Amino acid sequence: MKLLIVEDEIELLNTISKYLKKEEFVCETAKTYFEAEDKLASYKYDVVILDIGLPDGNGLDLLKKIKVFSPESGVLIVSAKNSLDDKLKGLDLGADDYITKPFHLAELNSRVNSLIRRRNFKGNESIVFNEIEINPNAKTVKANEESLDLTKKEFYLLLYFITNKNRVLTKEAIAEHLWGDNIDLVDNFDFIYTHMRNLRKKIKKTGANDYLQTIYGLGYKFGE
Amino acid sequence: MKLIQKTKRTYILNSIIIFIVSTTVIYFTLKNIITKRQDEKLLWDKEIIGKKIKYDYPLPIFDVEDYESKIPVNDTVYFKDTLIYQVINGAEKYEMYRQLTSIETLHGKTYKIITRSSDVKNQDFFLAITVSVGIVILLLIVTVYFVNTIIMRNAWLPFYENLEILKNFSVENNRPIHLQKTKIDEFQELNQSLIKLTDKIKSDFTNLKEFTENASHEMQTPLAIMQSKLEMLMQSENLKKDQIHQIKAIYLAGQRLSKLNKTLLLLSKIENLQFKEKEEILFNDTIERHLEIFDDFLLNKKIRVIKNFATNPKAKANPLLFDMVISNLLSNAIKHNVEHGNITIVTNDLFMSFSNSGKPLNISSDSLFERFKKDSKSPDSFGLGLAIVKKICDTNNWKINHSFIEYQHNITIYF
Repeated sequence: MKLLIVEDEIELLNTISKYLKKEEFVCETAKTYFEAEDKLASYKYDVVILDIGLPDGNGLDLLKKIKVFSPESGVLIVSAKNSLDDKLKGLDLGADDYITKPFHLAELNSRVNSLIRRRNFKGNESIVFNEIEINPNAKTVKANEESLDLTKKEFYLLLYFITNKNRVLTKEAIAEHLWGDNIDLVDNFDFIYTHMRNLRKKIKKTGANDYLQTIYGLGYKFGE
Repeated sequence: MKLIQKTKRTYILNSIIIFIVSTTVIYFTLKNIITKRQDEKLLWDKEIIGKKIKYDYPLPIFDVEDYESKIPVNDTVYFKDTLIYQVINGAEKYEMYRQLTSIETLHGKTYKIITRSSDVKNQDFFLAITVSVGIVILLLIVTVYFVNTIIMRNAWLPFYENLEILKNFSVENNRPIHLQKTKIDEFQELNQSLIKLTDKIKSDFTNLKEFTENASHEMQTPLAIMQSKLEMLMQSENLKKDQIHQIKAIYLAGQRLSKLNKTLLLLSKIENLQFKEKEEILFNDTIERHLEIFDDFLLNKKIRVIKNFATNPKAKANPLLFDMVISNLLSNAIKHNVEHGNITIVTNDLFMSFSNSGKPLNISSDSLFERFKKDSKSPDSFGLGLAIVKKICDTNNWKINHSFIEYQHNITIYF
């Protein structure tokens, strides 16, 4: 998978590309409108992560160009403005998703992955992690060839963990992924444990490994 | 006291004093002049009588008192006012007379000559003059009073209208103020200064709003860098315990900062009326949707939800903002609830109310809706949730209030 990250903040650009490279994505970067335009004209990308606030041009204009150069690329808009106008405009111009700064890297990764799944396989491909298999479209999970009966929240929790496998995920990032912006309004994340515990129990019952680890002081990690 | 009243009062008070003083002065001056004339006349009469006694001696028509038996008296002349009993047309009355008594020695004999003149005529005369002059003064005062009142009212009318316009002035709406024109220079000057002042306030306010919004936007990128760097740092192997603690502390502080920033941005957006599109909203559906979202939180605190919904109440509002109202009210009702508590939601066409069990507030109901006012000691809460709700209510002209009765907090929005 080939990604183009367009972002004028070098530090942010480096971090994003470092995080996503670990996911076996090929990441190219562009710091300016000009550079991005140049790269877009020469290569094809599966996903473009596009910051619309560029110093030498509007990201929305670049979006129009992407739709001309390579209409099959997925576009994820990154914006510092949590403004509905930009969001609607971006989505109208053919962007696939929209994320506001500041964001969790795991969230960005999960959005990119779901974008790729939607684009390339029309969502029918399963994600396999050892003995666990998830079908994101059908929303079914198999562990050790046995179907798991998961609640909606447990399903998305597992999908999030597998997408960000071998990564430390904070409670805050998990909560925000599952409950969206509303999580801002609540001061107690205790209920996450409940979902986590239930999910673990259900996986273990099939005889599959318990890949969920608690990382001291930080959060959780799914992996060997 | 109003200016008009104040001037009227002063005017009336002064007029009364002037009226009293002037009529008194006129009365006494007149009286003085007339008495002088009268006295001259009486003296003149006395002279004539004296002459008659001298040359046409004796004079039988007059009663001449015999003063011989008495101690010889020095010649004296004196005036006095006296009452004389009279019967005129069968009516008895005392009449005022001016009397001149003079004792004189003529031809070696002492005479007492008394001449009198009726005061009645004179008194009537100067009373008539005083009264008519008084009436003229009074009329003048009354006329001036009414003319003045009318002039004042007309002159001040634009002022009061402008005052009303200024009372309704709000920096938040963008309508320019239209002040009434007036022909009075001072008021015209005042109007111009006011227009200048309000324009300045408005532009300052807009600048401030823009500044807040821009500052918040500019903060998003550094926050994103901070957060992503920390998340990368968390992925490192072999972190020491105290390093983990420090990373976590920075991370949580960053999270709070970005939450605060997002909320402030939202508030300024609501203030800037960036959510214009309105549509009909069935609020039962919105509430049900949010109850589902908050399901976990309700379960976690074992809160019972009691719904008392009317069939399909609706209101016109921006759907995004309405969602925000519901989610803020609901999360508020959960956050400040007790274990095994309850939430009662009532909806109908006129109002929507959220009640929850909880402890009494330490702050007043009104300040509950102010920014950064919070009752809980929870560090994660900014006290902005209800400020957002209030702001949304304000922009939609809805009324919101809070009450606490029998350990139930109740927030009601009247549409």
